[in-house]
Amino acid sequence: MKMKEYELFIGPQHPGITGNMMYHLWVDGDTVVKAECNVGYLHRGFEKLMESRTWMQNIPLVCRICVPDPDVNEMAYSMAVERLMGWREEVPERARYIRTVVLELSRIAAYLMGIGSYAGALGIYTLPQWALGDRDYIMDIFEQLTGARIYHIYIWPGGVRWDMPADLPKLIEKTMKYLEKRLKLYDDVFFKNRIFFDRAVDIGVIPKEKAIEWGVTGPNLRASGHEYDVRRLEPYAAYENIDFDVIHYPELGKFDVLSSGGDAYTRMLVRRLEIEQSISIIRQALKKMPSGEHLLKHPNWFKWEVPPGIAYERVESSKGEYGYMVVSDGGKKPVRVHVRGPSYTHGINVAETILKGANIADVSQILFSLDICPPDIER
Amino acid sequence: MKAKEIIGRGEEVHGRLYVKVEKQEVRELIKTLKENKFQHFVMLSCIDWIDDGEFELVYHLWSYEYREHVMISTRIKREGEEMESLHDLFPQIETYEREIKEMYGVNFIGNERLTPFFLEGWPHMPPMRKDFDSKKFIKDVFESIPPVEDEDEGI
Amino acid sequence: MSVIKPLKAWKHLLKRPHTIRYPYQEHVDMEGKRLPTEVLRGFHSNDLEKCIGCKMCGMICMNDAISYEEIPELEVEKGKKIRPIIDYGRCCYCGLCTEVCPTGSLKLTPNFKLIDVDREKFRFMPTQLNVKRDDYMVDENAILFSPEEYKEKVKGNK
Repeated sequence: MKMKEYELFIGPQHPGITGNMMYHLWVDGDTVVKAECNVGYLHRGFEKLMESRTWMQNIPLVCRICVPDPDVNEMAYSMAVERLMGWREEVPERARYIRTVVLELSRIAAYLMGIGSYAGALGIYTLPQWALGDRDYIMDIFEQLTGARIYHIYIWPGGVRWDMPADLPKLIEKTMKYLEKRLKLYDDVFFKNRIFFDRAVDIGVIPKEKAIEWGVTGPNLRASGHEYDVRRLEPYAAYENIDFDVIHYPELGKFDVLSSGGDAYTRMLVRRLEIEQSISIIRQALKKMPSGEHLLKHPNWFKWEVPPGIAYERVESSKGEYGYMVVSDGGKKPVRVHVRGPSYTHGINVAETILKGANIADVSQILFSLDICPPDIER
Repeated sequence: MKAKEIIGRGEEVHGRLYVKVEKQEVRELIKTLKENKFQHFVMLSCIDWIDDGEFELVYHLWSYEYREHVMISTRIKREGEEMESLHDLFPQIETYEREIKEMYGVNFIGNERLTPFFLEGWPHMPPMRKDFDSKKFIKDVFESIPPVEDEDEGI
Repeated sequence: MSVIKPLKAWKHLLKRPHTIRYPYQEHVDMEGKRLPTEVLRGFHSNDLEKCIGCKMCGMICMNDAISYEEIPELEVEKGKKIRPIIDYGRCCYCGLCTEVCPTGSLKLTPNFKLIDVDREKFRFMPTQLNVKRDDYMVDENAILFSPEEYKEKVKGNK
């Protein structure tokens, strides 16, 4: 007797799912016929809350939208407020470099988490332990720089909250050296591991010609073969003064090109290579960092009024393009703040499309390779 | 600005092209922009201008080639006016429309997936509308739940 | 591509564990500096003599974590006799209250350790007392076993 199509629910408590979300699968044998994303387990109403808080009170709130990579939120929100205030050109040079360092450290931390959880989805449990352990050394840097480990509340409109301590670059350099050493081990254990090749190549392909239309951004877009990076296209912080290559398919450096791009294999390798690139950006930023002011003078926070207007600002997060649309009517509170989370497209439309035809065993690795983060879908 | 040359209208607001149009023109405009290398649909936002009695729908588009951002803005009445769905142009518009339907109550004609998204079994007013009072809602709903009487029971 | 190289992970069998045995082992960073440093945003300290009771901290607090209580026996030159009480069930340690404090009396300290079974204990008036980072505010009833007992247990696990 032929088995009929049946339904399968993965999540929200399943360990093979990327956070508090659920996928509803229709399965024939072990092939997925249809997938539907179901979110709603994490909706905290940030956008509504932001409308009832003043411009500065929103800063401790926005970073909570993305847990692995919180600084991009503060950055995008601050940039939007700066644009409305007309401060875009006035942000002190030193603050721009400190922001670059913070954003790149946060990117490495998020990539370590992403790579670790992806390896966990393939059943290699060594790497998640190592990656999260090494991420903690970056948290140590954040603790000494910003005063908190996860939610830093450090990037403010007009600069950064306080100056970088003089002895911190030494610690950052030491951590970066350690990470470089560890990455070699990661390669041996995971990225050059036979299991990775056998499982990940040509799985969950996002075709190059469809990638932009589907709204794919960030490392996922670069893995599909487009050389697009917001840090290059619309430089923010100090990225215009920093020399870096946009890592994209088919230029994978020391790794072999095994597929035709856009698959889980290439997506993970792009992330792996971008860790090294971030280390190089941090080194350059620390070297070029000028001295001087770190924050513009703020108006009285209780009476701060932002000129009316609409601003959209985008930054490159570890997951893709992060955007904030901020609308002001000239008052003490924003009229509307809308967050464009990169997972909004990756987690819903893209995942639903590329999961069709996949094996049940590959569902979890496809989702992790897209680096879906439900907090920025629901906000 | 390249986008201004393509569509021949709009004004520059904070470095972005901001185009105010009627709701019937939106589809044609986005189609023209999509054919002219504005291929990345960034997002669809909704703003509640309660004093004007209108919702503003903002379609954000970005061109990787020209490095330009375009906002196409259209206004519809808060009550009783609907918008045409554009999910056939970009697949992710479907999700944005679904969220706006739930959060603001704007109906999009032609979108068949306007099912509950974040909120399930929500009988109240769409929560992102400005006249939805969160504090009053919390007071009405959560303070009516009886407190836990015996902590040792259960688990 | 390799099948043998992943076995390199086995050399970690001979290494010491990555985790620290908190609180009996110190948390240090890569350079051996003890954490948390003075920058960490933990509990508040408030100089009651310097504080003028202006309520600015309560106004900026978006979590409504700050309420006020009057201290009648306090001798003040200017301002009111009210002083902030902070509810650490609500506080998010953002530190905006210290940034708006006009006298600079309210500060954040690197002390964040408070263990108690009674949740009312998490709402208290910050003073100058709880500023040292080694201060543990531990409820004796909440401890399952004493530090000595714990050390014995850790020794047994080696």
